[in-house]
Amino acid sequence: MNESQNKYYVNGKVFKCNLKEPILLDLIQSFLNNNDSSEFNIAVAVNDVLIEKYRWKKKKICVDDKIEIVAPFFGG
Amino acid sequence: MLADDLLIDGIKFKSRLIMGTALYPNVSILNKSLIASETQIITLAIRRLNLASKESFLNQLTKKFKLLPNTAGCYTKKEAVLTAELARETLETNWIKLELINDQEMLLPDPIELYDCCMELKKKKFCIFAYCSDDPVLCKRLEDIGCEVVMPLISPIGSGLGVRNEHNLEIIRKMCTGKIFVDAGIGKPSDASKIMELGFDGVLLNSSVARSLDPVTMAEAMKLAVISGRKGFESGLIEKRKNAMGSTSFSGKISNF
Repeated sequence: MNESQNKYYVNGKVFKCNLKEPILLDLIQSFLNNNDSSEFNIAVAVNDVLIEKYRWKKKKICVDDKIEIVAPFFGG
Repeated sequence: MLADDLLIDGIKFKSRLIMGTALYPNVSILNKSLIASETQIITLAIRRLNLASKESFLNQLTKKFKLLPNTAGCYTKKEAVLTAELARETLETNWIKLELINDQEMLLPDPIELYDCCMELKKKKFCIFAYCSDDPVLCKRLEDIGCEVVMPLISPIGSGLGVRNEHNLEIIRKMCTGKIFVDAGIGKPSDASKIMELGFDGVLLNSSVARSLDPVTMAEAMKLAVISGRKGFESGLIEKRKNAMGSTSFSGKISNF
């Protein structure tokens, strides 16, 4: 696996990681530095499509996929 | 007096004041302000996760509220629908305050994109709180397609200009039989009171409290203003007259000098 295969766009920035399998859950855990995702109340979209939490384990991701990891924030 | 509870999506609320959570000087003042306001519903945004934040937004709240996520900053239907879906996923609520703006300077709602988006979100079973302009026909159309709450502005977001077109608000209240809140433009407690006197069902505000010199006291003032205006409306305001109508009887007056 070369370096370019591990390049994704997470929250608008290039994110590189070495995943054994290109699975969304693994990428999320890598992004969160292996912290428990439930602590952050996150939701995730891949290429502008919501991926529900129960699908993270099976969702395959591709190089250059655009991934959004969001959470509640102060707002009016 | 009969209980004057507000019913939204089948849930009863005592407070008719929805509070935003942005722009407070710090989290402690935010929490104290929310408590002082006695609000039961708060708004929040959905934003990219910031790993530098030590604690999640929800963990910083000291009291439990019904959460109303918004689509603040969205310009397109596509963006707003995805934001709503992300909000539902993370917060496990189908409530969404739909904001679709048209420009950066005035942050005015885009009525055409908004209407289209409401149709889409209805299909996806969302409970919509539609932030819109103070156009009576648009408000009525949003109500007719099933928005749970229609929320016209009274002036631009964060402007504090208060009621600019009272006549429109009167027409909106007359035309719409469902729940109408005012969102955006409130500057002072008397604005909130005025809106409630017009028979609106509630008020959503943020900047007028968060940016005041003393947000906690202002939050309490807004709470009292909403209650005062509502009680005034419920009591039946007297009709306006062009001429005076004395309250003290002339009968029994000592004499005419």
